[in-house]
Amino acid sequence: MKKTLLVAFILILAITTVFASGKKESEEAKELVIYNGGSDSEGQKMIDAFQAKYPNIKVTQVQDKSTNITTRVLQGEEADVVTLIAKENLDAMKGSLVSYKSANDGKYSADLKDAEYKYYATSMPLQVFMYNTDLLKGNDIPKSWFDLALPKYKGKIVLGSPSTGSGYAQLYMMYKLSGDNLDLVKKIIANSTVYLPDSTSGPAGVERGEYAITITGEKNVGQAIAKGSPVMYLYPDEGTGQRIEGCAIVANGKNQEAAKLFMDFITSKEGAEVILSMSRRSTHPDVGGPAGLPGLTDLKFFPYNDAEASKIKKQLQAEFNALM
Amino acid sequence: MSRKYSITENGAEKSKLKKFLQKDFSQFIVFAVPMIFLAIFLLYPLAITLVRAFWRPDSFNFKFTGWSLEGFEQFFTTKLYLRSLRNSIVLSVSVTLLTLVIGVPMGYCVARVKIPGKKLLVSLGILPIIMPSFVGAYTWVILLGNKGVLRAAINWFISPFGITIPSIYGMFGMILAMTLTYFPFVFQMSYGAVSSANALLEEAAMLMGAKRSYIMRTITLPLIIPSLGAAALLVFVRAIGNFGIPAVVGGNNYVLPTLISFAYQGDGDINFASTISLINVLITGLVLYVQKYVVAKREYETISATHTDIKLHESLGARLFASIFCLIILIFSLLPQVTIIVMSFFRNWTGLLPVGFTFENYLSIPKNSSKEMFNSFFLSISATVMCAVFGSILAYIAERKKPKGAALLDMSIMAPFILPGTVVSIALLSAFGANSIFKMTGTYAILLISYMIRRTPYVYRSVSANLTQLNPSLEEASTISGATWFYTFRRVSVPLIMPAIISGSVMTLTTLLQELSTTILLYGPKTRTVPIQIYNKVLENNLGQASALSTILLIVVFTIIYGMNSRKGSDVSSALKM
Repeated sequence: MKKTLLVAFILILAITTVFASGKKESEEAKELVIYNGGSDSEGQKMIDAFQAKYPNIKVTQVQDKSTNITTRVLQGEEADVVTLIAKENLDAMKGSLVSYKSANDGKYSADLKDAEYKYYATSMPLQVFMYNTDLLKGNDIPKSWFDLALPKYKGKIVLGSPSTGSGYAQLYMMYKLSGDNLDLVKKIIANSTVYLPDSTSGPAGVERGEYAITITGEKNVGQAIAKGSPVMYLYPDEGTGQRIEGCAIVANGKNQEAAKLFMDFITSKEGAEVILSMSRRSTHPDVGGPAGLPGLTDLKFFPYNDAEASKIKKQLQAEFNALM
Repeated sequence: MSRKYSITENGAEKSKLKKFLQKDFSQFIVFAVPMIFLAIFLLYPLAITLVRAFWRPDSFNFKFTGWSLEGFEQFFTTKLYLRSLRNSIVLSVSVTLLTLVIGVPMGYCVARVKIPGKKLLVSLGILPIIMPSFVGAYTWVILLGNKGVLRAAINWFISPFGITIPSIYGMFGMILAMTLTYFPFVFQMSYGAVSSANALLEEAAMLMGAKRSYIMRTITLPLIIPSLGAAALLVFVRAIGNFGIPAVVGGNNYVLPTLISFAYQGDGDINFASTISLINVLITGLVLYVQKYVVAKREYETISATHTDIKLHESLGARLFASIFCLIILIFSLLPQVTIIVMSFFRNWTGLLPVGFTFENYLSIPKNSSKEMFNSFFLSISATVMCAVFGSILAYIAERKKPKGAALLDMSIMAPFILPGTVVSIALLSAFGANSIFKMTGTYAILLISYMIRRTPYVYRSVSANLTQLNPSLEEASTISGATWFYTFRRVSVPLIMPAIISGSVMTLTTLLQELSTTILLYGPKTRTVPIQIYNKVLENNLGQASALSTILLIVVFTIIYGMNSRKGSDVSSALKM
């Protein structure tokens, strides 16, 4: 009787341990694991294009928020490359990244790559206004960052909380625009603006017409217009801050060679076109702006000091929390 | 118990050893193995979280940052955080009370009034709690948001009278959405309690001339109070741990899970996330204490050796009222499911009505989701089988053998049941993240283990509850005839407790198929599941494909539950008992 019992328990233990050690698979098959900070289908687009070029490499992706990917990488997960990750997060995980000089290095100016070649900026998450064209017409459309404080937009604005990456970037920009204080933010909060805990629900809400205005990355506007939703972009009069996001090779990854191939691919013109097809603003000099959006040269920018932004993040967030 | 005594004359020492070796250790092993398992995979992670709560908050720093109460100080001095704490308490208390107001009468009606389609009602009535809350929350916006189709329809009807209903955003909306999501806990448990309460007591009272209301107050209600207490606790824990509904319909009314997400997902700060988790757990602990206090004084066992048929209310008024009441609640609570099914046939729903009728959302599933489907079913089924074995053996030992430390075992098994999912997930992550001694993220093993940790309570409770109502005489007969405890367990007890194992397993399987909060923190490139894919589709506003995948899970889950409810003796409520 004891036998049956032992067998039963050994079986349970065996099942667990077999799976625990089941990770060791043959190294022969060339593989690549991408940790993608963009959306699921954006990741799939990159994978499809890469595999079309390297059919023998089997690519899988983990899609997660940029911050979570940073946590995962810093905790030592075996990602080969991270992609579509904001610069501040790439900087945070720099210690876990590998220096690699891309085959297309010459195409990228110094402000579009890390000094030690730890990452390359493949796109710019430019923050623009997105408004619902059914709800706002003609003179009702805001033109400036400061318009968001106007009483006529009371309860019509939805933003991402400054605990999200883009939400914080917007907060920092407003801080700079008001002359290093939160006066504008204070008025926008007083305007019954809703701050959602994630940065994707806001644009979805404007698409549905739940809210009239949001501030978001260009790609969210581009993708919504492509879907036929009643929304339009607006580049505010003061301009917007120039931020970058990019791709890097992770030191802990098992497939360094495949990772280098991916880095070369995504920094190439071909790769830039994939980025472009997501309505993201590519940094590659040989491709233009996303379809339907103005070109880079037509846009107005104000300085975005990301070192300062990172430095005062805790303090600004605390000040913001006190206003809420 | 089989003990062989073979004492030889010339070797007292030898025989002692022999005796020792021949002792039946199986029970001890059976008890110790799960205890060690729980210690490693539950108590250790929770201990880490507890310790981390007292480390200095820091972004992306997973090493020791120094002891500090800074996290608590920050929490209790920031107005926004305190307001979120208050929101959490107001929200979960209101939801708990409202689910009782709706769930108890509905449970009573289904159990005691002669109405048609009871099996279907009970099966459909469990679905609201099985949908991932994030998906459910989006459907409420589609229905009752500023451009909500249901809101527009209702306002079209009532606006001639000069009244309109507001959109769902805010505290009221959160309470509404959560009440309709979680009332099934109360409904299922009061249904289970009312239908199993000994009807002889009520009949006796009636024969002695007591009025219906008097019987209700002095007999029926006291009998079901322990079940209601358990259900209320379940609702409270779910409500205070829910992230999806406040995130989508709460507007600026943040709650504790919002703050945990700010700390963890926003700042990569596990320490501060742990601090907030601890505050969350302390509130749950307080509620648990109150619940035990209220229920402990009213613990009645309803052991019935003979089963009497319960007399049903048959008057037309009662039947009409019960049918209409149940139907209205059911329809409202299933609106999210209906919305998802409709949406799965459209390309998009970004306005009043869905646009672009298509089958493409379903046709693309084999290509895009076959790996995820395999993972979901493989992981859920394997974990369910392990939970069933693990949970029923443990319940049997704890209940029948009452070993030393049974209380500790009981507490450990039930802990994940009363802790918010996010808290358990963060604990598991900080214990088994790739940097820790046990590097397990991205493996099937870590998902199976966390599923087991989180879901074993279903089978365990269901079997425990069944065993307390089962007269041990049959088992004793087997033991007296010389069978070992395991033989007795296998051949006598298991067949008797099978319905309980099945209902516990069904709850495990159906909730695992939709599991999101743990999986999302621990999955890797090889272990992505369907709910992860659904969540990603929702985030990129691809509601059509998200709905098609949800609909498939919904159909699978409903089939399993309906199948179980068609069997005699199994019902979901026993798996929810505390």
